[in-house]
Amino acid sequence: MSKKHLSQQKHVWAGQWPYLTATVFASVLAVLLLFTGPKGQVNLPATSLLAALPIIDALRQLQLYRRSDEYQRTVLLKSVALTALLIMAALLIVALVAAASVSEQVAPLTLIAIYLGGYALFLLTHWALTRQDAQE
Amino acid sequence: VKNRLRVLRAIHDLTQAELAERLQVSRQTINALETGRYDPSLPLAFRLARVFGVPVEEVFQDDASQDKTRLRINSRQH
Repeated sequence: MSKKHLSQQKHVWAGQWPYLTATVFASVLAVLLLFTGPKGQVNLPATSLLAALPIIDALRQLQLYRRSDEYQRTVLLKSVALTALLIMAALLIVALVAAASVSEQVAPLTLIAIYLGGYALFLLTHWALTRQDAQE
Repeated sequence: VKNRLRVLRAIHDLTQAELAERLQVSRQTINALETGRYDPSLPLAFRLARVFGVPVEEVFQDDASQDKTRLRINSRQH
């Protein structure tokens, strides 16, 4: 692989580091705040930081999209489409199950698990599609 | 849409990475084009043709037009 090609790949990934650093920093800080913060009530600073994580990542994806070429964009969009489809299906199933039981409430952890599972699926799909191209 | 990218690349003795570098795209894009998993945009198709110094029709062939040509040849033979 030539140096220029590497620099083209670097160009795509170059803008990612500020977002990734911010994500790691916010995650670590949120976990620390959760452990050291007041118990038995909503930990606003930690919750706000956790809520900011998807937003930071959305910005990172936007940056990645802008710097990608046309084919890499289609790969990214395929991964997003698949993830969105499965998250919506999972949320619909959870909603139907919750509606069916009269007094039960859906555990917040279930919704968080759907979000994290969906995000993991997105990363896995994107990685698998990109790796498939690189190996052929 | 079928293409002769692999053949033209071999004629010009270019690797996928070198071609990708000339076109300012990723190697994955070249690979996806060669394996027929992706049809390029018009600007990229013209840039490809320009790199090889041939008209765009020599790089990409429409499946339908190929079928028509094949039918014409067959009818002439019979």
